Amino acid sequence: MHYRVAIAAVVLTFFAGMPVQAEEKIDLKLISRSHAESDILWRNGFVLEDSLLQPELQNVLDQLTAGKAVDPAIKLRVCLFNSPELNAFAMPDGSVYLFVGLLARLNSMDELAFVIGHEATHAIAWHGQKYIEQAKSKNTIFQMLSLTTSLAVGSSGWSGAGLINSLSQLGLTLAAAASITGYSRDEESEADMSGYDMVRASGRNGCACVDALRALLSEIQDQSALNTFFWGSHPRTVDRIHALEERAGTACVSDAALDSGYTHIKYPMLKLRARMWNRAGMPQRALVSVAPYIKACPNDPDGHCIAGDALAVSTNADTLALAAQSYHRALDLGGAEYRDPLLGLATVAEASRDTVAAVTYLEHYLDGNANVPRRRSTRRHMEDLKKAYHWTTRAGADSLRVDDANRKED
Amino acid sequence: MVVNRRWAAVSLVGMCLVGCSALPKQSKDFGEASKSMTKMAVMPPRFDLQKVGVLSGDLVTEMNHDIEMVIKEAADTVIAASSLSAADLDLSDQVLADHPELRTAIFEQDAAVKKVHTALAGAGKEIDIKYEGNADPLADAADCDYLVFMEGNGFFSTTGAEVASIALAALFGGGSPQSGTFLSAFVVDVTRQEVIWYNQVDEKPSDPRKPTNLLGDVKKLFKPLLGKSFVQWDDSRDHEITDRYKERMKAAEAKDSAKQP
Repeated sequence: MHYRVAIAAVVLTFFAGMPVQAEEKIDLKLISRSHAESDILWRNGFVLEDSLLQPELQNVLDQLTAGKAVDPAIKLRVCLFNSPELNAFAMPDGSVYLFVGLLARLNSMDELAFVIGHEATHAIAWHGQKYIEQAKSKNTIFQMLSLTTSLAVGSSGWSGAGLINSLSQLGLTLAAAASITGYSRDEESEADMSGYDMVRASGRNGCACVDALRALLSEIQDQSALNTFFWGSHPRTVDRIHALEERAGTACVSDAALDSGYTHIKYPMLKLRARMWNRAGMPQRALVSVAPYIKACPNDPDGHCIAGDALAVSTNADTLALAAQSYHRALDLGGAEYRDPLLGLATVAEASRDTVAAVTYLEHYLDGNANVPRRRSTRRHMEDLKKAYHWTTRAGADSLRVDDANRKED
Repeated sequence: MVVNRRWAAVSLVGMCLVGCSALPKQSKDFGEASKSMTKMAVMPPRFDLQKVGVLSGDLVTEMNHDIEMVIKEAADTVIAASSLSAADLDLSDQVLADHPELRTAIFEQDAAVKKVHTALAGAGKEIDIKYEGNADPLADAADCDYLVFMEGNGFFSTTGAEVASIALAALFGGGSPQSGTFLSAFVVDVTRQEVIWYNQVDEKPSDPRKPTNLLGDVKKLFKPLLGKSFVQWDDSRDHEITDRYKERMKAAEAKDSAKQP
């Protein structure tokens, strides 16, 4: 028996002891994996396309990295990531993902430039490759992912832990690793300093880097622990602010005012972020996000409809009345572009147990346009409501309306 | 020894009774719903491939999409060869590039699909699971009320791992499969917003890089729903996924070396 164990040990030692060559040049397999993961992100709708914003963001990236030595295998490009979270990450292939939530939080183009410069540094300096080489084995990443996946169980959607869960379930180890942990402290500090230098070299305000971190810091205090994976793993934000001030050679006065040159990004992102929070089942956050938008753009029906969606999940009669008010305001302004307020009014009517009104709104909704979204399921739902009410004719419906009113009085 | 064999046989039968009897899962009104089912559209499947080495495993993300495309092709073929027809739901990269709203629609299924799998894990043979995603844009694109959501994972072993496994099997007996494919599928009735059918298969050995294996697994997966399928693929296709992968890697290397000063 002993000789068998000895042979097994020899076999295992042979395979385990195979030399692992330290790569001095860029790891093309990693770049290839990174491309594949970027494609998966795109195919699965994680990447938003905005024909106006994207070229502008790319322009900022190109300005910041002009003259930098970048390996030809790395193609620096900016992508908009479909999530309301405060986050950004870079893939080894040079794809820089900026989360909608982050763009909605920043206040100036200079702050945005710092974030882009920071992430571009991760790609240019091969931080992803170094991260993997430094890990004792690739299993470290899998262990980390299995830990985060187990933490994420029970949450859903595209925010926080649900997002991490989605990335790891799609097999996106690089994206998940980059977005969850970031890189090592030294590498994050290097990215901060390099980001600062890029901002200054492009003639921008260096103190904007500090403002960007201060904005994040103020937001992090309001977030749950799970949502701070990324920023939590960075060097402490306060230390980062001090380090940047040291680099700037001055104490930066806090400037949280919205720069007029950034409003064209800020407001659409606030609106988008609010919609995302609604879809993620977090109406409170949606309201916080949409409130400044409505203040800035009171005549956009979308904002009122989003507010209505956030309020309509309540069971409180007063809140439901506010939701109906928001939907009516959206209707008065010509109807929201992303969702017909009639659907929202039907939801509110149903929640208020006014089935007749709910059916009436749904009928209007379906009559309006043959290609309305959710046509199939809406028609089905309307039929179910009618069946439950033995709805046969309009006259019958009118009598039911009286019954309904009587029932409410009871 | 005889006792051991008997126990093994009893265990096998027992496992089959417990495990197999829970599949496929169907909704209570499946019979009613299936009457109006004339065609189904297969959503883009999701698949994760893992390469098993001697001491570790690694994902081979680069091959996932090719495998996913073959799984979809296999499912479409098997459905088309049955009494149902396969709705044309073209979600190729070109279509997705031209219609970003379809990518958004795919994205919006993610949370709903996850909830379905969680609910299925704890469900018996009869299921009552609402589908919470807005699948209408996809059903509209396919002009079909029934959507099939598929996902799976699989593994293959490196030559080193195979040699090590053979050596260890020779020393200690036993042995483990060198490849495997797990596939699952559920059908959503979009008008009812309900999951009406679910099944899964776990085949070992079955190298997911080989299209004929994938077709066999897909046929097995849908057999309870569509009946036995006689579709066959030529095994000359079996190298197409690995060949494409090798070509891509070679092209990347050539491109990089051409650009290096």
